[in-house]
Amino acid sequence: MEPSENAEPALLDVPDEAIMLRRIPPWLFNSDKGAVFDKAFANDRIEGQTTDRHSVNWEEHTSIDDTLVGHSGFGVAAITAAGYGEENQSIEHSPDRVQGNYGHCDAVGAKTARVQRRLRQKAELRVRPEPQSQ
Amino acid sequence: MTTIETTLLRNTSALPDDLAEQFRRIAGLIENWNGYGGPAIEPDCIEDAVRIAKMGLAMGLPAPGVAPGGDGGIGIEWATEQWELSIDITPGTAVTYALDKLRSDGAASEESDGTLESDDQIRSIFALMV
Repeated sequence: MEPSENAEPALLDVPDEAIMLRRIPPWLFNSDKGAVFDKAFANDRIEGQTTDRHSVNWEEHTSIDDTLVGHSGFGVAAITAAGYGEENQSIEHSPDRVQGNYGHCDAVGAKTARVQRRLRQKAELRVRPEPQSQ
Repeated sequence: MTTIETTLLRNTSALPDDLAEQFRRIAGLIENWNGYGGPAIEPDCIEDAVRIAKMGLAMGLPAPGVAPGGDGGIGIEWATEQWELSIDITPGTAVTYALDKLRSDGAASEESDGTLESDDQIRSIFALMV
């Protein structure tokens, strides 16, 4: 059940089979290769600080359509929580980090070039980004 | 014109037009370009990436693809018939790489990865690929 608007959002354990959605901006799609760049799976810098995490949405709670609201031309890649786990990444449910997004999670762990490569290889591109405008 | 744009115009003059344009676009990205609050890309990272791309071109590699990072860094990726190489430049951390030798079906037959601490190390990887 989704939490009511005023309640503190309940934190859930994320099962292995949960699907994590990551937005892919057009700049991170290599049209020559027809594939996402590895760098799409780097960690996020948050408020100027280097972090050990990047944002994803838990599809069961935040759909692809919701993930793309306000992000015209972006694509979406999907990886299971288990797939992240195979690369020594843990998935933490973190709805408090983005207001109004109960499905928000963080994929936590170091993301070297090798880890980024493996996450890209595991990712299923559900929505292809639109080509960059000239 | 910003300082980074001026520097880029000078530094990218020897690059193929498409690659120079990719670098210019990356340099022009503004905060939240990725929808996750991603910062503008660090000028030092762009300069390092331009320098590494030039090294590869000088050794006979094709032009790489370049990608901005939500960490303020930049990724450089080469794909040839036999090799796939990614170099990850992230502000404040070691430069890392992932190199795969590919079989004819595209799967990796050999993998290597680690940190890159010198241009000589980068050149030795490029030498394998040409």
